[in-house]
Amino acid sequence: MKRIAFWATIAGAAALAACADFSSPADPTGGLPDVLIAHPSLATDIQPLFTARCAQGGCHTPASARAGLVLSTGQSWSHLVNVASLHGAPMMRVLPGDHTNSYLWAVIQPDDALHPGLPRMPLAAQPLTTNQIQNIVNWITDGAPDN
Amino acid sequence: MGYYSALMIFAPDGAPQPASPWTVDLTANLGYVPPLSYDQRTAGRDKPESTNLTPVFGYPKVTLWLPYHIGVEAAYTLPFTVNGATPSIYSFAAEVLAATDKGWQLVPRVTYTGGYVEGPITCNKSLSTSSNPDWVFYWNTVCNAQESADRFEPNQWTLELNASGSSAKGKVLPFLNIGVVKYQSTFDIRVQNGTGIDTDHPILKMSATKGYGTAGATWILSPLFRLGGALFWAPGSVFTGRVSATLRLNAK
Repeated sequence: MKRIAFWATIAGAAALAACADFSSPADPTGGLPDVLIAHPSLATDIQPLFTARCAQGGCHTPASARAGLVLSTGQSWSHLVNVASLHGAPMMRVLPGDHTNSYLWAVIQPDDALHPGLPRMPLAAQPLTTNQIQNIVNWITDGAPDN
Repeated sequence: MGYYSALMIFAPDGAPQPASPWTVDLTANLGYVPPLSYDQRTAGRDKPESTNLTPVFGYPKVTLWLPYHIGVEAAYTLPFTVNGATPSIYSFAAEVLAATDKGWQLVPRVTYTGGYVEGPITCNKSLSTSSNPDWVFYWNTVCNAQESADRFEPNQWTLELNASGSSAKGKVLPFLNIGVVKYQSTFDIRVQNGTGIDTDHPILKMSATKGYGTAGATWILSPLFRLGGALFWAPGSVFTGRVSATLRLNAK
């Protein structure tokens, strides 16, 4: 009987101690460089953001194209620049030279008032960093070139 | 992925009991699946994944002893659906009594675990009733208001060395097992649309080699029946406990 009690105690202690032996630290950069770039290039500075944070399965890929928007390499510029926004009408998705009238800029802001009826993007994920958002602003301010 | 892969490592459930050729052991094995915290379930995102679908993982196992104290094992986790998750996991192992000395024995062992677990991890209906409007939006848009049929495939090999007391030593036999596992696991995010699985589904892959250990004891209640209990630790993945009951058939 003592032996049973001993092993029952061991089993109980093991159950209490059982745990997942890892942590899931949030990476606010999304694994991307987090540096401010005065004159960012679409191909080298902005597209990697779109690819890693937006053009993922079920979202803004050619197959899913949520809100009719594709942000995959080679398609993002034509889907963004001077294209009317579906949710943010009458705003353009990107209005070259004017980020405050570009819905892309609005929808990545934490302030819900800037994108009423639509959650902040990236959806259900860490927000873009301040530098990453500013790089998008700088790209738009530079005229949103396809460079 | 590392957490679930580690939980499915086909580690020994007790001190090996090599027997005369053609002896068969039938074992029922049950392991505890510790729940993940909110932070662990978010995995760097805001939306928590629905990973706490089952508190236990188990399987029946058959061991056939061959000449030269070689044992071969096969196990299968039956496809019973628990909280929407359905497993179909199978494992094989081969072991051999390599050395015995002064009541102790050494048994190297190789295993393979394959199959899959399917369940609504990415898109779980609980999102639709969340108090967070972003998750409700996620359910309605990304999930198409349908539970996902995500599929996790462990696909892993292990190589182990088991040191234990032999049956000549007594009725309670301690054992210690160390091993390395080669993971080649995949997690297929299968969101459903109106016509089936969305073709636009990313597949996450994990390829890694890691160590793990098991320590416990086997309690021999009779020549035909024994119980086992073990603590299992895969550093960086999980620490948990497992129990087993083994019935020996046609013992000579």
